[in-house]
Amino acid sequence: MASTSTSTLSRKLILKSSDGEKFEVDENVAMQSQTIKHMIEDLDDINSPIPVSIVTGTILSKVIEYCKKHATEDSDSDEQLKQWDKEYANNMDLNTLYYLLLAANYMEIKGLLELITQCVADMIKGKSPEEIRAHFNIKNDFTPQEEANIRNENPWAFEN
Amino acid sequence: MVLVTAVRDYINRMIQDISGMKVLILDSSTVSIVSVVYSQSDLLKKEVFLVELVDSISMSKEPMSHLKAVYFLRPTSENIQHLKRQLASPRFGECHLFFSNILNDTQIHILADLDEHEAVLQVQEFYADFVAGDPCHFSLNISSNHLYMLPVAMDPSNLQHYCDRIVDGISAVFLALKRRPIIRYQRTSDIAKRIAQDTAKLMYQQESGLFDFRRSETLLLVLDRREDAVTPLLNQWTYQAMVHELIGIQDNKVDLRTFGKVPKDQQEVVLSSEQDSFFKANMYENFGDIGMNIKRMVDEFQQIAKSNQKIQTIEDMAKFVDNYPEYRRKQGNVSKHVTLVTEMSKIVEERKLMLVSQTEQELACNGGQGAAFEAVTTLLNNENVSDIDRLRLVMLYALRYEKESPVQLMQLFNKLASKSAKYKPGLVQFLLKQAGVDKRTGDLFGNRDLLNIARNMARGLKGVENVYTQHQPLLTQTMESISKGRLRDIDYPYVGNHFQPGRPQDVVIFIVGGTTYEESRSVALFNSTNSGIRFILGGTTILNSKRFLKDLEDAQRMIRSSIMSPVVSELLVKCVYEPEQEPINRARTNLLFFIIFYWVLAFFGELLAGKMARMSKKQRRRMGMIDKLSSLPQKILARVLSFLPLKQAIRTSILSKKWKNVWRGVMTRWENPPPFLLERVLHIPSLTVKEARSKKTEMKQLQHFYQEKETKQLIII
Repeated sequence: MASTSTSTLSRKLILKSSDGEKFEVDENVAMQSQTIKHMIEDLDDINSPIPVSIVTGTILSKVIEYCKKHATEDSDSDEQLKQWDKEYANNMDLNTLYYLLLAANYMEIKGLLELITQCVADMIKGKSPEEIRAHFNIKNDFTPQEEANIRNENPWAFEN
Repeated sequence: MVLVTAVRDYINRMIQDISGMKVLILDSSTVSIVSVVYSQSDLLKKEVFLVELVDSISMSKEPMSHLKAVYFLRPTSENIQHLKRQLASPRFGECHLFFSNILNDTQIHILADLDEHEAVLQVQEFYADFVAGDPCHFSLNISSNHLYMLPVAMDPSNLQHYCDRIVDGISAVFLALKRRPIIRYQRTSDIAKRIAQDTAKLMYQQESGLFDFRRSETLLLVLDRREDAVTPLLNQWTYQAMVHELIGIQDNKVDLRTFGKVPKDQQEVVLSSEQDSFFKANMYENFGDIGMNIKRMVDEFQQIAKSNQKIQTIEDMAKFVDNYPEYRRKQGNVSKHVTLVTEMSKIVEERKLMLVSQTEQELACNGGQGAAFEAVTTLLNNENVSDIDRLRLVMLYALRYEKESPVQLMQLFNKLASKSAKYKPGLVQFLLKQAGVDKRTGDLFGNRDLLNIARNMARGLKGVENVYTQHQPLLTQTMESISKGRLRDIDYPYVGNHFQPGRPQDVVIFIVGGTTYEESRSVALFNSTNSGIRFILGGTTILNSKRFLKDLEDAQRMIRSSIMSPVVSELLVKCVYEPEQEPINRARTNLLFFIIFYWVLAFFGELLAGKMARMSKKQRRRMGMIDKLSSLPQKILARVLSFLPLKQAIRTSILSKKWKNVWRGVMTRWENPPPFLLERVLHIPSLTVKEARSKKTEMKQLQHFYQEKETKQLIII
């Protein structure tokens, strides 16, 4: 993956996904991940690939797409960036969103984590518990008695 | 019962009894063990001309049959592998193998098979498996020291490895001392209990023949670092502790290369009480006194230097030549201590440590929550105070006033986050979770029992000599209780049915998670003033605040990043969660995976297979209908819920059992969380709620809150 960044002074890092795919990125792009930032601090040789052990190549490429966009902040206004974020998230299917969440959490990329959690929250928002279960395929494993007990803990939350 | 002597004796026996020119071959652990008690010149005196590392020596092929090889290694499987390779084509005339701990039967068999060329003349176990830096203080130098803070289920294999290393180290100490102890441990710590029990099993069952020494006057007490998290967070003002805190000591060596203009022979200096009499006399002295003592040393040295200049007769010259090595040595020593003290004064000035440390000591020793809050806030606002000092101040405050005023505590968290760019949110809360008041047995701040309160008051009346060194580690209290035979059985139970009738004569205190030089100093001072009982202190590593914070961060990161063990998550990611696979395809992979799994298992005993099969059936049932959202870590789910209105977040509690408590992980980041939220909704009792607030306004607030406001600013702690 060639870099499109304008900065030529920046160092290059190689990230390696769990399935062995390698990505070359600018240091300032990768540094948005706190986890990688810490890894680099402990690393003597920055030319060796940095393993991102629980993230697959497909997901990692999406993560890098996000990081690149947010590394070159001067080119876009805040408004444009927000629009880009929105489209980026909307283009993902449910499946991909899960792995992005896991990846963002593991790699400690705050912005991405916020973006995806917000996106999932929007899917839950305004739905009844039954609708949420159906949408996400969640199995209700409570007995009716247990469910009633929980409702009684905070009854006001279940009133309409 | 002095550890340094014990280790020196072992090494003497290794290299003295073998005459002629020798090469000493060590591994990365034994290199530390040997280097703290034996200097390079001492080794040379015993005709050791070469010191090599076992993993690098195999690279060169050149035979050196005139040298006799003395191996001193830990009995690990890697080392046995190295030996295997090296004994297959021996480079040295003779081989003498020494191991730092008990070899197991398989290892002995392998060794016996190895020696085809009959080069090995002897194999012995010399129990020097610990780094004895000071006479009464040892460390095990364990590198991944954060493991003791993790829950057992998270990384069982590494934790097992960690525990095994500790048990090895402790048992070597007792073998070296030729004692079998009674064992006690800190009840509240799971890891201390586990280590105490494993050690007991080794000493009383597996190797009971080896440990058949005199006993019952010796005590081993296993403690957990988290019982006293205050000591490793304080700035230090006594010589040895201060050097470690500000510069760093590793195996009694100090690396000065970071200070730039240091002469070449001073880049790495040795601070050993055994080899340096000035250091021995001053290691426990105050920084202020050291300045004076160094001045005296410099004056003395100048006298000698002057007398050397007056060389007029042949006699003078002969005298000068005789004294010259001594003179050089003295010169080196003087400049070493001068460099250290100069560099430390610079750091003290730069980081405003006098100011910071005074508040730290107040927090650790004296009461007064309001004043403490003010003082910490002022220092957080002070631009000259460094990030690490800010963090430590807030941590000390949190440990002390955890329950007093949650609102002010939260204000400090916010201030810290806004002032220190590097601060990782949640680290202080993580510390409280690990070492907070609910986890502690003892009386860390001396405010629970009357005797301690009285003692603190007496100290307050008498005034203190030095505000910077008024803190006494909790360990001092523990040592006093032991020496008076008053250590409570309920808090520090015995392992097995070996009890101690009276007070012990020799005590080894082992702290899982690491010791500090402040504690080592307390032990040394206690030993010098109390006859009839001797203490030895040991730990997994020697901490300064930097190392302690790093361990804390590592543990936090590991717990955060995965709830499952890495192996399992790797497997799951590969086999189940592969996003590109078609559902049918995925099912087929699963099936294939399990068929192979069962097939392999069939080769192992029926019992094992049955157990695993039951487990994997359960797993399979779960995997059959994947609900990916619920399978995410709770932390992430809580983050998702933090974007929802509170009402809807709470509604998710009836989705399924997994979801029941997720919303509780959501907490406010507001300066003043509304008390009703803490008490009525999150069911966290808050003191401020008790302050009169009429029911009516409370209800009003509540309604306003869940209807109008979105909990968008909520974060997770």
